[in-house]
Amino acid sequence: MDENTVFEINDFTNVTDMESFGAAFESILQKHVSFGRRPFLPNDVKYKMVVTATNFVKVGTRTVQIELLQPVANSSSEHVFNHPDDENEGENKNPEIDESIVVPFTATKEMQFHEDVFLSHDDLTVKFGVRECILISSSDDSDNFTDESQYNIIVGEIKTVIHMTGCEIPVFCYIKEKTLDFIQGYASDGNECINFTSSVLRNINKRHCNLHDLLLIFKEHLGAGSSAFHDDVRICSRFTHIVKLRKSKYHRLYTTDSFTRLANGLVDTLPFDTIQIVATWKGFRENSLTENHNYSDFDVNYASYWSVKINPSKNIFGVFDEILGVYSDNKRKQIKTDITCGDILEKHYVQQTTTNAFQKLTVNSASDVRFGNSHQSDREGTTGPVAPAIIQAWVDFIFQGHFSNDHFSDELQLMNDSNVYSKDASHNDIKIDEDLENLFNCPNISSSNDFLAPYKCAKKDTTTWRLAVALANVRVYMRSEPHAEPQLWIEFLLQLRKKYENMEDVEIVPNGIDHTLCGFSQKMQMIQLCINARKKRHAILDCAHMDKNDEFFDASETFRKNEICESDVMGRREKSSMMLIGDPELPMYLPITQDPCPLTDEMIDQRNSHLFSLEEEARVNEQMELILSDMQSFKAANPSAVFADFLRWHSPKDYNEKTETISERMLIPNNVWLRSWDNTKPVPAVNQKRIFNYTKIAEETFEQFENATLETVRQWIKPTVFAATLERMAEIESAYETLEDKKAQKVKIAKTLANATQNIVMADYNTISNYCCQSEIIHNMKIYLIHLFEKARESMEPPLPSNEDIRKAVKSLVNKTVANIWENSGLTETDYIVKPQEPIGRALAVLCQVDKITEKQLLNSERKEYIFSWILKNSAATGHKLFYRMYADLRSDKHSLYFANNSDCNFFSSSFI
Amino acid sequence: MSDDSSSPLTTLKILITGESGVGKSSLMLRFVDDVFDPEQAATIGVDFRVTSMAIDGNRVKLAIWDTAGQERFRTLTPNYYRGAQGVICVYDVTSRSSFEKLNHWMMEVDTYCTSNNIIKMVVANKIDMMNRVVSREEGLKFAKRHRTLFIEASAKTKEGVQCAFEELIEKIIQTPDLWENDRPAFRLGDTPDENGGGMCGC
Repeated sequence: MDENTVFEINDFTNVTDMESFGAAFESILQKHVSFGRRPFLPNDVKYKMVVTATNFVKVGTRTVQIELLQPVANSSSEHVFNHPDDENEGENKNPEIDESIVVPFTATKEMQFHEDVFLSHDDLTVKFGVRECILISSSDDSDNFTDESQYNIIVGEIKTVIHMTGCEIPVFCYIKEKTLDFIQGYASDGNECINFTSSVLRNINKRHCNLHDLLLIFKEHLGAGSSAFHDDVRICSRFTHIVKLRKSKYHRLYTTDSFTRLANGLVDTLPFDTIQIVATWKGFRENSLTENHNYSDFDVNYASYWSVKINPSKNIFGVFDEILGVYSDNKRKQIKTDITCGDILEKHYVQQTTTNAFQKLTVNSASDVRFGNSHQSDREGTTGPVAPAIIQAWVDFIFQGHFSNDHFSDELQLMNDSNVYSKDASHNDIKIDEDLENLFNCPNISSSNDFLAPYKCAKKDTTTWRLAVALANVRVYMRSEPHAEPQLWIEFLLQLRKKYENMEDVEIVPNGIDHTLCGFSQKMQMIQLCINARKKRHAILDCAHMDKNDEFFDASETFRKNEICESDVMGRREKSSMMLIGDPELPMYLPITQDPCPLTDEMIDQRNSHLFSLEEEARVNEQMELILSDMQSFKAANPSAVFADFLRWHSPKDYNEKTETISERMLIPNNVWLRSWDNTKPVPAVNQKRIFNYTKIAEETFEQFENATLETVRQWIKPTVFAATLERMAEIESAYETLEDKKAQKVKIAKTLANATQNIVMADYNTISNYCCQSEIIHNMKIYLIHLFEKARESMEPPLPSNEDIRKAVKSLVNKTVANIWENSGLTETDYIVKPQEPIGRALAVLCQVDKITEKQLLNSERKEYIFSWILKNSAATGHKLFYRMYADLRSDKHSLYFANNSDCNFFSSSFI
Repeated sequence: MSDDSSSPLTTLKILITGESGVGKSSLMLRFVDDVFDPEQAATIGVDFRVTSMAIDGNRVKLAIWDTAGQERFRTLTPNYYRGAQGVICVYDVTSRSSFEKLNHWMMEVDTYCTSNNIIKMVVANKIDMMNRVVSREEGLKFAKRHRTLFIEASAKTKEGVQCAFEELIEKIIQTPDLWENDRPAFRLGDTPDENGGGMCGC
């Protein structure tokens, strides 16, 4: 043979698309699969199918996706059964099958009757019984196998490869779109084979919707074997019922109790409105249960077990989402927030009446201002979003922590009556809302969790804290009225100004500005310090005919300086034990001195950057204020004192009493200390220029407050709102013990918030926001479920479910829902399985009003599924056992049948290749 | 931003505190300008110097804040802690009272500093003086108890000054949480031990 012939052979092996597909498929099998007998898994369905390999193979112009699905042990399977039923375990093994002869073909073994198959979450396990398979589908939805002939070509190739390699894993192939669930498959061990087929119907023939008719279909499908019915068909079935609870609309009720607490609970819908009960009948033989057009034995109360889940409402978010949402989501900002609160109100209400009102701060209260149309102006107070009595109560709460307003409860009732209920609300619904409102409010807070993490926010029980709570609450309470929030801010400012003018306390300041608190809290403390300084100044200026009612006292203050009482002229505080060096006859008097100006963080930053920008000399001069003031005071108190005397008082390190010498550094010629001393005149503190110019600082702060945009206001109270939310979260959780001990998580969250508040880390705030919102949703669900269970228990006959039973049930139900909603919840979705005749099952039946499910509903429940299984003990050809299986999935819009037929006549052989 | 390799990695704020007359300004001036003036005037309020140094090949800009030690200015010092990454508490080895007041200064650091893991250093100054009354062991013991860095120095003879600052800056650079702008989320299990017990080898 010459070389050319070899070339010709190469040329000849011009592979077809199918051949190249076959080769690719084979190489995939070689790579991922071990051939021959597959391991058989114990039949307890604690496995889930996981895609372990995905490959894409080109067939002509089309790309097909080949996935290998393999069973992985489900680690959280301990929750599968609430009460494991030991007596059933023996039935898992079918005693009629003699396993001793040969190691069986796993695919046939898996399709044998297995009564717990409905506990599996895997589609293909339910449909065909398999727990391991290769799945072929079109990688692109627009490019499906549109007919069976295309499928047959592919499957033909696959069969060839399977037989060649001895791969015993079933191979499935989707025809048309995946969502149609039209799937065919094949498996073989060389001797016998299984054909998997399906038929999906959209136009449903009502005749084939019950057990009786489906059984006929199954038997017809058995074909040849049907003559040999010496054994019963075994069946299991599963009916899905969706039970509607009351309508999901929920109305928040306003109560005096809830008024002063950070709002929590539901926004406007109940956490869920339907409960899904999936009633399963484990294996039974044909004729033991009947179902036909007119009659059904499938009474939901007598199912083998229920798998129950709650279906969350569309809007499951709670109030915390409403409160914290404005900080993370721009969409939720219902009004423009980048303009001042005054402007917000102005824009939406009659302009000429509000312009003056909010610019002139001497107005007593915004409640005196009338908004709205003129025909309403004869009504008492404001026609703005928040009624005068309510807003007054809120302002009183902010400043005093409590309120007493006679009109308040009437107004509250009015609010509840008018906006809240439409006419169709039934008395019962209102009652439930009241019950829930009470539940969410947690009237009995057993222990309040005080986080020790150092949040940089206002302290609890301060005005700032209450302001943050009130501003958050007003947003929740007046959800439909976004202008309520700016209105409250303006009312707060007016009251703050009033209190400042009257020198009433507005905030707790124990010991100077607390720099560990947030910026806004520091501003409030500053106002209080300004008030304190004013009080002190007034006390020093001990003048008889001061007009206490004069609101413009500050303006006239400078003119009264000459009226200072004679006794204070020296500005002496106390006599010291030292005698003056300047005049040894006289004792040294310690002078009354001025306090340095308190500074907020913001002011410190400004001052520091200013100092930083100066040259050294200017910097020193800038900081001389306090020393000059001290020198003036000291000279006034001790007219005959010398520089050494000043040092003995002010900087004792710089004067050696033993050697009676001044330190070297203070003796440097023309140093700033000496120079200043020489140039200072004696002036008692009271007559000096004020170091803490409280009038100026207070006015500047007020100006900031008045000109703040709504967004700024929200940012100011942000750290406090977040801390208050976490605190409230801890309160409500401890009140109902709804959350298991999650101390580590709580500590972590507390630390995250501490970091967020201290370093203004947006990501950390978002973490807290998500945590609070999710926790509240979970809490709301639990509270509502507990409420439903307890209500149900009231109308039950003994034996009643214990609190522990209810707690467990609630936990399982909620965990399942949570795992469904958030993938990252860390919870695995496990079924909540309950037996209908147990106390908790009966409670569920009452709760869902299962007794009201009618015969008709039973016959047409949401979804009905059946699995039929039959064994032909002696096949005609080989005398082997052959297995037949049919799964029927009946839904309102789609009926699907899935067949798995075992055959020992394996006509397909690899021989023709 | 330019790719200029000389652009500093970060700017660090270092605060120097301690009793009046222990030599805070002298230490700063020795480090920044390499000068010593025995007649250094008493600081009024706060004084600054800006300098830069190279640590592990990175240039770091330093803003050194020198505070006044006198009682009268003490109400102001809390203001200066804002944003500081390192604090140097100085005492005078010839003055026991300045050593005894260290407790007060450490407490102030813990109260007012804004970073959780601010780096603290105790510097024993004036070791060139003959009339020492506070021993090295006492200083070391104090530093260990408060988990701070410790070094003995003399602004007059230069001894230990450069080393003190270098040690402090290095420690800060090793704690990126202190100076990185995009701070990672709060890490659990951060032990404060990292900051303690260090000692300069020179």
